[in-house]
Amino acid sequence: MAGAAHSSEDQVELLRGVIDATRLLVVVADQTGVVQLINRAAARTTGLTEAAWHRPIWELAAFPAERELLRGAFTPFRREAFPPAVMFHLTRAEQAPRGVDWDVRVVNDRPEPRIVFTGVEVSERLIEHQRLRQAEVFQRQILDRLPAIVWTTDEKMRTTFSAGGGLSALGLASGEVSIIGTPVTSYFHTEDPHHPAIAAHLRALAGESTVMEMAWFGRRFHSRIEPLRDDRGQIVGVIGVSFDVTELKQTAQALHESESLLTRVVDANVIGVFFWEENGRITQANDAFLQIVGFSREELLSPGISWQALTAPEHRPLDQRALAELRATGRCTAYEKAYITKGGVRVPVLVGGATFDRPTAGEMAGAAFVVDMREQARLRDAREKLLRNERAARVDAELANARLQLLVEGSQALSPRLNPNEILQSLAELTIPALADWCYTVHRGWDDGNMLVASAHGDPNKRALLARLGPHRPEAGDDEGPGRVFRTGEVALYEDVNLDRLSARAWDPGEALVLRELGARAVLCVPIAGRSGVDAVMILVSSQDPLRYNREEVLLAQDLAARAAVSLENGRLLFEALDAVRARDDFLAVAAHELRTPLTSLLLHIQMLRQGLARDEADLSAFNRSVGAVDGQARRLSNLVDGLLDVARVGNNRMGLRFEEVDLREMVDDVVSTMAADFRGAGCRVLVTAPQRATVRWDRDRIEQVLTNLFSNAIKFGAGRPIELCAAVRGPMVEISVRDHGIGVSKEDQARIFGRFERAVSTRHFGGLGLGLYITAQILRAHRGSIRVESEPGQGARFIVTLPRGLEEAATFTDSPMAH
Amino acid sequence: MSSQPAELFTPPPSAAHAATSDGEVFLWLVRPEVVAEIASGVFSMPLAQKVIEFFDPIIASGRRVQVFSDFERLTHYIREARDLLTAHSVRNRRALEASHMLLSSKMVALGVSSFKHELGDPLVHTYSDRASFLTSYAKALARE
Repeated sequence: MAGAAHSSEDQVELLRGVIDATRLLVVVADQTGVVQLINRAAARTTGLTEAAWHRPIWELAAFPAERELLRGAFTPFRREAFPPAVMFHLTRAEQAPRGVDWDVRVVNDRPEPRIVFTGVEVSERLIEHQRLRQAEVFQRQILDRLPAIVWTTDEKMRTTFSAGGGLSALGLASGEVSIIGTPVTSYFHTEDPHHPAIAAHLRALAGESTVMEMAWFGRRFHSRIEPLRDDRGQIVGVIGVSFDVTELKQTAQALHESESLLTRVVDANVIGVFFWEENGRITQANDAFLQIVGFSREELLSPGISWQALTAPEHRPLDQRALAELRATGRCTAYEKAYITKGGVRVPVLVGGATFDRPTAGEMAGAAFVVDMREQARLRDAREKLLRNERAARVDAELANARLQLLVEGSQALSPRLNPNEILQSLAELTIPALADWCYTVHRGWDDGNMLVASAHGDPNKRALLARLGPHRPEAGDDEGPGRVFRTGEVALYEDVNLDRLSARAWDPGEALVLRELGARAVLCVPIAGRSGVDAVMILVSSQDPLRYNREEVLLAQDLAARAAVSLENGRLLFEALDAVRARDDFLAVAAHELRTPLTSLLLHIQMLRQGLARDEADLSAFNRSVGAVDGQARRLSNLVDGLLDVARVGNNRMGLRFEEVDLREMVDDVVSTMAADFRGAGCRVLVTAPQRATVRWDRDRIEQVLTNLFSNAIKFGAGRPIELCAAVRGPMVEISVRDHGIGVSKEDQARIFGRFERAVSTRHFGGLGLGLYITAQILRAHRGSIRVESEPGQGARFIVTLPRGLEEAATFTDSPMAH
Repeated sequence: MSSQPAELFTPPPSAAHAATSDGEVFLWLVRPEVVAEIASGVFSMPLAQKVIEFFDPIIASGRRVQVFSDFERLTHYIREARDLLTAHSVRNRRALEASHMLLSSKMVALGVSSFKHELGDPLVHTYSDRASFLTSYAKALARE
């Protein structure tokens, strides 16, 4: 290179050589835009010859918009306004335009400024740009995967960059061009500098960082807003990073609420809660749980106590099942079991639970929720008890109703019957099956002494067997069974019967076999009462149930027996009434006959007297005989009427007694003396044995009447044979017996000869009204004495009177049953 | 109809059946004139209605039947059910040749007593001995 000696052409040439040597494209234009110079690289790129490039530079631009842009820069040319850089594409002959990025420099060349365009083909810069762009894309992808928004602004808080996955929550796309240049204030719809976000930006522009949390578009963001600095540390804007923490916040809130709820549940102590480990340890427990199990917290949390040990032993398999369920699902279905408290008390509980984490292996831990079921159990027990009671009450009511119905049916079946056989049979059938499998009734019989039996069996296969049990007469001496009931009048119940023993005592061996076949595990013997003791016994038998009869059934059986007794008594009364009617009719016939006989004789003698008087023949001796006969018949009539009057007085309770002190011997002698003619007439010798000076207090006339009646009876039935009277004082009592040697009285008649209008013999052979013994018995009864007879037919009879010696008070007759 | 031996007093699968929470009844026709019945627990209205439902076609057919009722495990009854069944039996007495009942409950025995009273003694036979009950059942089956 030459120095000052070089000419300007040389310098131009040198400069030209330098320009051509560079790879940069160099184009120089004047202030009108006409190209003055183009270096070799530019000529090569454009393919233009020197002649071709002397024209306005914008004509080198390939596209109209570029040409227009360039021409605008030169028209008019203003140095200070000329752009420092520009890009346009160079036209190329028969080739695609090539983009060139131009630096522009205005050179103060004289006489006018030159504009130097130094360019680099865009293709090379593009490679660099794309590399950067690629890096940016990667960064953006990373940012877009973060739940965050990253943005930058310029100094005027206009958005210059945005990225991040958080933008989607705002309905924006990462790197969306439309928001570039948008002021951040517009995002918050305010320019208020006190708005937290705007204030943070302003502080950042002032060099201060802000960390804040804010709500935006319904979501929550955790943001950091800081100054954005260039390479030299100058603040050129704001850079912000916001993390979308909405879900995090919601999760945290839910967790907080859940924890809060759990805490409230635990602290409320409404239910027991404890935290457990699979190894048996209890790590926490609330007060409610402590109250349930009765341990203190220290005791419960100590290693010595395991939650398994609290469970009642028989319920531990339930715990094992719950553990298996917890391991499989993380929770377990609530189940009922019992805890054993510290004091050893069983507490029914309802338990449910869950693990803290679903376990895959190793030990589980979790929470258990325990509801104290004592109150529920008490209520349940009470309810069950109530139901049981209600059911039992219904059963009792139905039992009572059925028993009542049985009694009604009993009355319906028994009351219309008067025949004792029918009554007993109905009673036996009525009890089947309500009270027995089979029933046997036995009646002692009425006055004739003939036993009555009836039986019933529900099982048709056993009725014939039962019929083989013959009439069984209970003995008064029997210790057990019907005999005892007849004797005591009390119910006899035999449970869990030993049939061998019963058979041996109660039936003969043949019947014992029958009894065994019939079966008898429980036997109830119930008395059927009569007027003077037990008339019958109802025997109820359960073949299978050894404890068949309880108190209610005994009462029911007694009630049925009482109804049967009423029916039997009605039958008896009817029988007696019919018998009384018969006796009355007999008496009337006898009385008519007895009255007619003296009356006929009386009338005959009166007629004879009248005839004698009519003849005026005074046969005084005949007259006296007739008068004597009239007198005798009149007395006989008078005696008969007196007897009838006595009966009437007895019937009307109008026969009073006048008690006085009497010498027994004297009274007997007086009676014998008075009746001496009768004894002589009958050919009877009287032998009297009586104590001397024995004083008694009786109604003398009535007792004399008694002795007269007994002597008259002895004369009537024992004429021609001796009569013995024996009187003896035995302590406070006197016994007088009158014995004859006449026809005697049969056993059957002995019971009834003291009855009204009764007589043991035919009126054809023995006269009289048949009232003597009845009146005798009633007089003695009024003296609180009695009379009985000992006799065998053909062996005579001995009537024995027993009287108290010193009866002081007055008494009156009553027509009550006789004392014997 | 079942052809099982008499000692097997068990309901066949075809037996009419009704059950409640506390009671159960089975009924089946063993022969045209022999009906078997097993009831247990509490005899309540649904069981009584099943019994009536079972008997109605028999009554309509005009046949007379012997009924063998195994009530050994019947503990008690509801009065309305007993009244319903008693009234039905009394109304259709003509269709009943005999009623044989195996009993063990005292309450049921009381109820049967009333039933017997209303229906008439000769028709009703009661047993406490299962063997004897089965003997009568066998006799009824052998009668054909």
